[in-house]
Amino acid sequence: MLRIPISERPSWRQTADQYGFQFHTMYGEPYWDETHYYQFSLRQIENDLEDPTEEIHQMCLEVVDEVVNSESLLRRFQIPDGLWGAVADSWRKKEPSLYSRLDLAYDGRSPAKLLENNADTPTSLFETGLWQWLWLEQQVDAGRLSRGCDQFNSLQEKLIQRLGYLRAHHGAHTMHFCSVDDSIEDRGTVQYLQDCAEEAGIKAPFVDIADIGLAEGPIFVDTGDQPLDWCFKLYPWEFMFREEYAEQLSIAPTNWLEPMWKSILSNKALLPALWKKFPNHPNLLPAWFEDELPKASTSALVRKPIFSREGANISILNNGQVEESVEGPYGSEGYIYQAYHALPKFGDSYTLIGSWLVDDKAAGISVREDHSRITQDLSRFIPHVILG
Amino acid sequence: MKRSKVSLSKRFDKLSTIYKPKPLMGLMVGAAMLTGCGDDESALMYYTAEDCTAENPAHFALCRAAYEEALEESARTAPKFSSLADCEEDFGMMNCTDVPSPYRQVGTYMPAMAGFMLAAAWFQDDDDFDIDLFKSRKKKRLMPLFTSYNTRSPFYGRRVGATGVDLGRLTDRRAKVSRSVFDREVPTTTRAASRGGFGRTVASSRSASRGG
Repeated sequence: MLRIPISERPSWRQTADQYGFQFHTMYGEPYWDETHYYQFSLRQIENDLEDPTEEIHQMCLEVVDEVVNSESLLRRFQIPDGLWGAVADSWRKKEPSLYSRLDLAYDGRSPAKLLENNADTPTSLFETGLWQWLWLEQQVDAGRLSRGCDQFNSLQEKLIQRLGYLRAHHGAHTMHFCSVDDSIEDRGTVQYLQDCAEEAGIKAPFVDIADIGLAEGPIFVDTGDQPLDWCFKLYPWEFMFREEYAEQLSIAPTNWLEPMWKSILSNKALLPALWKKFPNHPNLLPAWFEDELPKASTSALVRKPIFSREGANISILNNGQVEESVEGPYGSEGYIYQAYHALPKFGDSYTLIGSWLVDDKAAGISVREDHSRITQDLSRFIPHVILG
Repeated sequence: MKRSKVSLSKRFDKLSTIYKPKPLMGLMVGAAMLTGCGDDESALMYYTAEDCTAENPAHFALCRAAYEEALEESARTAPKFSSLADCEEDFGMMNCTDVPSPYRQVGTYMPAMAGFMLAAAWFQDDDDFDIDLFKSRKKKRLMPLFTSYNTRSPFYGRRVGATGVDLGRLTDRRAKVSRSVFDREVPTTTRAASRGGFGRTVASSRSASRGG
């Protein structure tokens, strides 16, 4: 695993415009950064990232199976009790999922460690599935990268294939896609998925999450009063569970993507639950619920809210003292603790691997860099290649 | 090779404008989907049960059952209007009818069924028709048809399904249709009683809703 400088494609910003990639620069800071790239060996990709990703996912599913059958765990996971039945049903009916992203700490040598599972609303999808692949093709064509370079990236193909499967085997002929309309990044991510769905033969209209209506039945409908038969939402379950229509979620017939059981995976309570079930697994870090924290522990810890995104409200503690932290709106539902594991440092940047799954198949990686030890939403996206 | 070297689809070029698609307007989608490629089937179209029986005397029971099923399906799936004038504007004078009570929550007027379309395969079997079997079939390969008598409507003189699919001229008897025309499930027409029950958390905190 190497970090190698490379010339930027001279006209990549125009190409970005052409592809509708509007958020490559955010708040005046580069988000997409192609002044260098990461190089992995095929062995590193296959043995250290691809296989562990699928294995971790299977372990996570075992936790879901345990949680839906335990009231005390559902409580620990902060699932509102009115929705316990709905979450459990969605699991028992094996409601199909689309995708997830595991965040891993990996330095090219030691086993990758799971930091968290973004199983409900992962973003940076377009950048991973299409944009970094385009970068590879164009850099190879320009002679700046060897013809032998490859990329761990079958994300777009697998998404289209999976959506086609949902159409053919689950009757998903029309799928609504919704997000918060005023976020350009969310809207871009959802537009990319709409395009993948149309590629798979699915009619894919957009609806702003706040425009979803409730009609008699009850059923959820779009702005034209068409029922939401299938609905992909780039909006977290933990929010929906606490909003006005939460009660109708149990009875309205919409098939949601991600399905409701994903609320157990996109939840930091997953981390201590995984550690309890699979202690000392090489790809896991020790983790505890707040009331189970070993008293004698002097090691460095990371405190994470049960619900948190983009690094918000995460603190790094040493001997109980906060060393570094990020502000944010989360934390009212409680915290978990995870053993501190340093992200590898390349140059002056801390590097994080996002490892993607479509359903239960590993589908590629994205690399993010941040100047801080806590990766946040303004971290930079760096392309990668496989060589050797 | 970790990734198949497919060329990137042209579809993705259009991403240049992130736009807000117009909402679907009930029946008014109007996408013609007559023949697909290869996977077609023959279908027959009739105005009424009597019309069907006149042409297929041996299939009296099938014609009657199909007509009744189609009528029920038309009540469930037809576009609904709160005023007769709105309905007649789209479907023409004297072409609208009261919505049967179970479906009246959305609107009180709907276009009258103009006929029904049935897969020709139903007529190939000369054995005794089993009406219970027909009724129990989830997919009957049957659909109600609508038309408009307003000359300015794109459906004037046409036969259309509840999804807006154009199935040919009103006077046609036979059609070749893609199998998917029958397979598509047509949702019950509805109207939202409220909106805005999701999305407040982000609206209030404006924190990122995403997970990366």
